[in-house]
Amino acid sequence: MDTFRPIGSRPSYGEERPVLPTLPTDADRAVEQLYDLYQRQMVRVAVVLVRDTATAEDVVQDAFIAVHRAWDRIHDKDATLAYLHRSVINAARSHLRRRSVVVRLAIFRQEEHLSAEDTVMKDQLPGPLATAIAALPRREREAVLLRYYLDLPEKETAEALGLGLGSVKAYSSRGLAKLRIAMGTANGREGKE
Amino acid sequence: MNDSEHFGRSLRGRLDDEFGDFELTLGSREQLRRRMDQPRRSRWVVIAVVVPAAAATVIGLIALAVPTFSNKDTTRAPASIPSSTVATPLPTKPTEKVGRPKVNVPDRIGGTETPDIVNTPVPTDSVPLRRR
Repeated sequence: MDTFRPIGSRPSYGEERPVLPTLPTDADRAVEQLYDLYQRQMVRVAVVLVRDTATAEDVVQDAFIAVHRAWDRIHDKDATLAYLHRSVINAARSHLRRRSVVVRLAIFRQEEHLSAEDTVMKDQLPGPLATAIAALPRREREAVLLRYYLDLPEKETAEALGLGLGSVKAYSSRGLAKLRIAMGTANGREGKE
Repeated sequence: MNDSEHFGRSLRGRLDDEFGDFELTLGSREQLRRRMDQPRRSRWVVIAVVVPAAAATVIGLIALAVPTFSNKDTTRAPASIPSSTVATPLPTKPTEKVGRPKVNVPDRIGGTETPDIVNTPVPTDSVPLRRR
């Protein structure tokens, strides 16, 4: 059974999640309104995905710009938020891809130290849970964030990640199981200390 | 809701707590507005990529179409000897007629009999024959 609910009537997405209002037809005003409503949540997701606050803000802004450019092509304006989720995920993926190429090239050239940006990145996550989620494999990380942090239904998560429903279920439950172990270990360590 | 799902639901609150003192860069909204006001680059992409490709296609089509419509088929070999050349007789003798083998056809053909072909040697001249 699908757990799909219309965007406007979903009670979840965090207690602070605002209900998607009727967006103005003007692209500039609509995107600004979306930005005010969802920027914070999107940046939090992006921080865990790319492990860097400044990069996360860039990624999210790129995603909003992508929505702005595609505004005329988005016929169903209720699907704007889904488009935004997909844009954030895609922007984060392409950033990670670029960064992995840079790191690989640096290793290939046997450089002793990477760029300042690459070395600082490891310290940008705010706490143990964010660190544990960031340590998951990419698909599990994305599935857990969208499914449990943004509280998206499985169908919307699948659309945002470009996966099937079964894959979303598998990745999110696998990621969750790993997180439980990681957080249990972390809690145990804190208790001993 | 099972234990695992309950843990999943609790993730949101815990992650929000971790992001509690999370500050966004000031002026990011202004930056967004500036980026939205920038003219789209898609027109330049069209001019830089699509126009040369289209021009090359048109030129190629014209180059292919010219020989097709000009009725000059340069690829086919001439069908006969040009009329300006004079045919000279060949120095070799013309080939002589060779006797055909005789076929013995029985007067009366039975149900299972087939006609036999008997090759009878025919004497020929000592002049070698040229094969074409």
